[in-house]
Amino acid sequence: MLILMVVLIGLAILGAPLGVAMIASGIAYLLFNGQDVGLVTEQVMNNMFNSYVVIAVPLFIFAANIMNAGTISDRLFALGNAFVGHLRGGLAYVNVLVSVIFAGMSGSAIADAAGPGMVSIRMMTEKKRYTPEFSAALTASAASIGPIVPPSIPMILYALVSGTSVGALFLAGVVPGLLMALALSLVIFLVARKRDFPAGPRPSAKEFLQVLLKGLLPLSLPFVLLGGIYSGIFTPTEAAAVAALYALFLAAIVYRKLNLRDFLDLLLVSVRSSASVSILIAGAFILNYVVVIEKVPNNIADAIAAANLTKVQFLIAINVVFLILGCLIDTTTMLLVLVPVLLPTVTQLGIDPVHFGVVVIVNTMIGLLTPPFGMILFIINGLTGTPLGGIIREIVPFLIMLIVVLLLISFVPILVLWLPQLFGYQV
Amino acid sequence: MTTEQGETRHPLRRTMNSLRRVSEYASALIFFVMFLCFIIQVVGRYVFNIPAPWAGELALLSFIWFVFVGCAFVLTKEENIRIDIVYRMLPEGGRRVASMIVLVVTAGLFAAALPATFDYTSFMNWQTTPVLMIGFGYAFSIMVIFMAAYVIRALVHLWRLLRADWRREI
Repeated sequence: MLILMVVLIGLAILGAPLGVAMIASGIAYLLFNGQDVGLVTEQVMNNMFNSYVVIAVPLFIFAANIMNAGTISDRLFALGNAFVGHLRGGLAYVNVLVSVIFAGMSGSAIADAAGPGMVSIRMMTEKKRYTPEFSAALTASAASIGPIVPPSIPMILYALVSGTSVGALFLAGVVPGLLMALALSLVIFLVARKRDFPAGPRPSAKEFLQVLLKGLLPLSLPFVLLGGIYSGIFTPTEAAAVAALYALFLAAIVYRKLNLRDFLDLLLVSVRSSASVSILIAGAFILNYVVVIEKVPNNIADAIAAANLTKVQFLIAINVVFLILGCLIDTTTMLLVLVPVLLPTVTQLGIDPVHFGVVVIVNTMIGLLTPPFGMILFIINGLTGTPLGGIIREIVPFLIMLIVVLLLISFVPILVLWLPQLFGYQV
Repeated sequence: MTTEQGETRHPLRRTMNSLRRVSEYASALIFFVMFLCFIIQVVGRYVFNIPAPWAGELALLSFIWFVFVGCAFVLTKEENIRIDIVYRMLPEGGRRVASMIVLVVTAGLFAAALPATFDYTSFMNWQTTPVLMIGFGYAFSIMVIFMAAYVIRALVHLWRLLRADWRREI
């Protein structure tokens, strides 16, 4: 076990690709213990061949790329603007609203930040109505709602390692996602009064109708997806393909914003980003094999049982540890490597695994917003050129509110579990 | 894409570049097949009431293949998910040493695992996938290709780090 940790952590710190580092440390472990190294391939390949649900990950990435290329984000923005644009700080509310809607069709915070997020920032900073720093900070925070409102790539990964139902997890994310949106809106409300943010014009009934009609097709996608999943027409994995097909239909045929050349580029971009995520999944299979052989989860469970930690203490500890780790490690690694280690403890303490999953995922999304390793911050900084320091200064109030929501859903499980229970999920 | 002017005429470099281009398109094609399989499954089941289990299996196989083809031949070092906080803080010389340690250790371990991996995959051909009846050995052979390609790429990279113009490689 020690050899695995040394090789893995050593390689990771020196900047090795994490998937490669995981596979290499698995090999080192087997070699050191005189076991057959063919086990690496056996574990990785057999598990991947049996993980039908994981294919949703590349497909959701693909779908989001098509939506972003096909002006679907722009249409959603116009729609959001018609609804809340006339409030004080209107465009800021639009930003949050669009993130929630887009979250209902994509499963990744990064896609959310890079797609509708960029549209929102462009609109907010036009004519200098909002500072770039505030716009970027808000967009980053709103993007974190992406994987909480279903569908969700992190939830699929969590379901994979925990054996919980993807359907139940998806439903469990709805209320927390809306709470996050409310929390961000509250910050906007306060800042808007203090800084006297502008309000947009109220649209006439005719304009409103026009925008609504234009946005209706993309707006229907979340309903198609969730309806399809819960009526049993397609599985959550297939929903990802349906989302991609629908987006492709809108972008290529209805809006005519996508030609063959663009499509090929989209495929290539999707291959690159999904291969880099999926190799981590492959590496996690071998790592989890070793962790289970070495009885690490049971030992941790025993240690925590011996420490007489209560449910509440455990959840506080987990949230603190994950928030700190979230500043350093990326979400996929945390979900695939740390969660399996903790799950026996979770069930032993009587915490519902779906509840735990949502708490952990909200936590890791906050991790995407915290320096120094805040993936969303880097992406927005890279795409807009807004200095990181400025974004970080403006993001603090949003972060505080998101942490309040995290604590709320940690200690009031019914907020998470109410909706899945309504649909028949047994706790 | 890094276009290194002046060196593109080098035959080895040109072969590497066209290999990368070919694998890029190959992985995109496999990805597209995976997507189509899903559509065929849903449409088959709900529109025509004909289940298509072969499509599900082909989707899984395509998934495995595009991931490993992508990682073996397409992804650049920067496109991989990695923790580079420490790496970015290092001076140039430190980065060179860090990269070299990573390459030696990972390529060494992968090379050590290659024979057993090859044995395992060839052994697995006694079993076939349930619907398409493809030998698991063939299906899983991408792991051998991935590991071998990784070792070769690592060696090339190491060699470049040892040369006088190593600064271009970090």
